[in-house]
Amino acid sequence: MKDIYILGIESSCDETSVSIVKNGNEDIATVVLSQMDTHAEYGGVVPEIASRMHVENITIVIEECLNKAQMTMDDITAIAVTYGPGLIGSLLVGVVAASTLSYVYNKPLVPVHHIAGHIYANNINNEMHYPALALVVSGGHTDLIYMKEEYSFERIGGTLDDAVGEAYDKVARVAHIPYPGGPLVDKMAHTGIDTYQLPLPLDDNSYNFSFSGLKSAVINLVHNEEQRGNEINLANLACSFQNRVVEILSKKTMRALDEYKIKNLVVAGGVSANSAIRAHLSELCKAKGINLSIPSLKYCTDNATMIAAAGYFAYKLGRRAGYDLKAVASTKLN
Amino acid sequence: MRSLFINTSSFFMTIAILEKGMVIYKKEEELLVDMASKIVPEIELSFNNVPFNIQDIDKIFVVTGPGSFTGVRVGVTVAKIIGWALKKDVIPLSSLELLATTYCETSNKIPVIDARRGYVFAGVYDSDLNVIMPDKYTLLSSLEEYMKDGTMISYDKIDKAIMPKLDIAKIVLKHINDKPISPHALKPNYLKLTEAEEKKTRQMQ
Repeated sequence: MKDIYILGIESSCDETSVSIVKNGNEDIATVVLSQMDTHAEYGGVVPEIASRMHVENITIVIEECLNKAQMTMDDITAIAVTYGPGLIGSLLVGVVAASTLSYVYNKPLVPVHHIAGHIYANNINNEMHYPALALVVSGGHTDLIYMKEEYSFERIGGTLDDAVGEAYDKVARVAHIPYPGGPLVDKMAHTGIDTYQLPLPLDDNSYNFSFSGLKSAVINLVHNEEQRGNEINLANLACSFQNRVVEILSKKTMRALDEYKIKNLVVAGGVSANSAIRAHLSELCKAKGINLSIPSLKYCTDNATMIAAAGYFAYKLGRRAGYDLKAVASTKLN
Repeated sequence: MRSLFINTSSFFMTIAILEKGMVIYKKEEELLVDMASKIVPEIELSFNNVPFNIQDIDKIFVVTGPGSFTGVRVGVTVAKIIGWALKKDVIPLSSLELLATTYCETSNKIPVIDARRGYVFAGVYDSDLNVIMPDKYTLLSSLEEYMKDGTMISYDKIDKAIMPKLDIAKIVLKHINDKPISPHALKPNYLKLTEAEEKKTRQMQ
């Protein structure tokens, strides 16, 4: 069979990324231009600045990726692009660029949902097995997705309020931990002990999550201690918070695997870089004989490799977009 | 000489194709939303209406602003990709100068785009499109001195302003020999920092 090369474009938040992936599993070349340092000066992603930077960099990143792969657009089978969800102004740049490329080079345009991308980051250098359960944890998502077969997605639960990454960032902010707070909270948690009484969030029979209560508990605790003039042990606070998050994520994920009789777990999204989540799930899966897949760290955060990998499967299923592909800020995975 | 002209800087999206200085195809559409999903289909359609392909053009003229931030990004992104992919010269144009192609009897033309809270994007041009006052973000009231022998031109509801009637051939001819810009370097001309940047600048002062 002829090899399929997908050029992926990702611009849903603050990373301009282009990648070429062969047959859905081999990363031929990837370029990620992160704007993190710029946004760090503002304490978070500023959407208008992100959009401006995407425009300035888009052709540079495409060219660099092709050069790195030593390929031309003629070698590309199809173009895959993240159409949503994400920051609308940022998404627009990638979508318009991809539509224009598709028109100029007469190549098929394949729309990819950002979360499908995160899940298929697991297919790089690895073969995913089905049925599978996907736990998607990021700054914008906390979802449990049942995958009966290749590229089929059924959401069985998810967050009712804050995404897990969002909760990490807000906790970091109230504890005066610099942006991006999530990874730092994770790091600090390792040097602390679980001393603070924090609630286990939404510990019920559903597969839904709720992190706003836990977040509020942390905020109240910090404010109360500050008012009393007590110093907060940040490492212990980070550890206590992280333990609750990891406990509830693991508990519901393991129950879903059990109930759906699934032997394959894939973890995806930026927060899958979290060391405690990785360690805890590895341990539980090992004990239960579950085949666990977590992307290597470089594929956890936003990148176009995952979009090109997912794009390969979408392409094989015949999914196509016209040049009128719309970027959408919020959209269901299907 | 064949050129593609793209303007997405306001709520009018204009796609035009020129040959030997004449507009041979023009599509102007009022779009309040969805410019991003309409532009490539419109460009495809435009080349179905002329006897040559997009590969056969020599230059791309694109309006880079000022105007709607999102709108400008759409046109600039398309121009960057076409310019880069097909190795075509790209020439940036001012949205205000484009408004100044509107015919009027006074010697000065004052194109104005409402930027809210009493501010506007404005420039002053003579009837040959020579710059009298460079484009800037300014208070509407600051344009008073040019009004003696000038006419304001705007799509927006601005007192005494006349409606634009664009002459695309005129602005393209004016800039036909401009030095082209590399597609990588082409960027929107917002004429205004983002609110976050403005706030930071104020804090630093």
